[in-house]
Amino acid sequence: MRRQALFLGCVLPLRFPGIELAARRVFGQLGVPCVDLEGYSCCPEPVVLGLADRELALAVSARNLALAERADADLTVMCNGCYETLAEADAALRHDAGAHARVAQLLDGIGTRYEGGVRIKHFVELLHEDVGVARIAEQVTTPVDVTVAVHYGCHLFREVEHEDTRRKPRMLRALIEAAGARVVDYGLEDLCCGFPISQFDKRAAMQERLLPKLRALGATSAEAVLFCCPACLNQFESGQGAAGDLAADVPRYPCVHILELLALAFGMRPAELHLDARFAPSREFVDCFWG
Amino acid sequence: MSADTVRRLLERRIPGARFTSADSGARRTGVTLQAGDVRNAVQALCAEPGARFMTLTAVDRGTDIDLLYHISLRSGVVTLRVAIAKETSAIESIANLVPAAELVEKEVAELFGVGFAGHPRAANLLLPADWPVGKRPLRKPLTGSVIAQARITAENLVASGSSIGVARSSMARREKAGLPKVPPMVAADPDRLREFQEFVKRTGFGERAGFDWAKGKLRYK
Repeated sequence: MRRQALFLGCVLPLRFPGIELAARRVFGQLGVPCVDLEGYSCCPEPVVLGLADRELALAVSARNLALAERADADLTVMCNGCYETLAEADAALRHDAGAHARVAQLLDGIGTRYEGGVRIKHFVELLHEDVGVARIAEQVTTPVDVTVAVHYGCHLFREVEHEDTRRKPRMLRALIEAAGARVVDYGLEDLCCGFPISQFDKRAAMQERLLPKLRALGATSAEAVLFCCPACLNQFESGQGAAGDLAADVPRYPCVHILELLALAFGMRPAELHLDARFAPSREFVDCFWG
Repeated sequence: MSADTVRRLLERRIPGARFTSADSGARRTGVTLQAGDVRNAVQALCAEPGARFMTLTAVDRGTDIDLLYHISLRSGVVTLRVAIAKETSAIESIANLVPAAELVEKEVAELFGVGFAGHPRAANLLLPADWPVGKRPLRKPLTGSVIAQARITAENLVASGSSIGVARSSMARREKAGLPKVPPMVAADPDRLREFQEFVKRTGFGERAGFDWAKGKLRYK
């Protein structure tokens, strides 16, 4: 496997350092040759800033891609939004000669360039395609005996070179099952977490997105909600408090990242996940199952 | 008269003048220059044989007001274009150089709130005498292309390279987890951060969006 530059993004390392630790542990144990992407910046954020100034967004994305190319590495992206931004920027630079020329001039100004030689993958793809579910299952020493409902996150459905938008969601389910957990369906898996709407109307984000999901989850045997996107996890975890203020009857769930689940399954000690920095009930997640 | 000819003429007459762009069509030539060079430029062009100051127009672009000085010259029109920041909204009057500018400067002053320093007429021309000073009929609020919801994100990006900023609480959380205080982002290295900010500047984001590099903030809330 070619070496992988980890694109951590902003939310994961700054809000959820425990997930970064879990990622480093899981990739290390699976022998993924990882390097840090030194000097990277925000991807930039696709929902608000990416639309506010396209010229800036494309240039900043291209700089990040150029860093990976200079490090002679492919890019493993740890966030759904970052994945979409970077994959779309790469496609724009390959197919839009005008955009490529403008960006090339800007990159030249800081003594670098991007030739399009970086393969961009969501970490779910990397684990499923390049490592393989069988090899992951071999590393499981402590199957995580929980029933989870999955929130895939809108940008996980984004495909640049493929047409099957369910491809990465299927991969995520396979990874969950490899960790020993069970997946329960609740019918609103594809509904957005509400983060983009919350930028404009926080109450609508709760009422139209999070509350329907929580109510649907309440009719299932789910013990936790599982994510592969730190921004969705952040919205869901922190939003549950506000959702509870709007409707007292909705249940609240621990929010778990797939890399936390895999790290636990690989034998990482629960204390190492630093869940104490998280909101309730996520910080009690481990206690529920390991005492 | 081509843009290059106009430019050369102005450069000869105004040593040290800074022109940011010049363009020309079949009978129109535009030159963008600094506010401090407008008087000299108008004087230089109007000194040409047959030249005539036609009018002054103003365009409110949200963060700045463009003032366009139109001068008829050799069967074409030369337009001197200058942007003035709304925060100051001031420029020197050319009325004592070109008497024809007196009324139109007054019109722009009253409708857009632009102050023309040295203008000879104090009383209102178009608006009633008791019209409130702070209320200008054609002036828009100071705002730019970055929507309200994206402003903090944009400012964070320029300041730290991160859309959510690098807060002390985040650094403490990382340190507690045994990780470096700052992830391997541009914010981890002051030299890299400066290089990143220079890169963002080169994208033209500052001009497009109305970003104040000295303050590190957008010029509007």
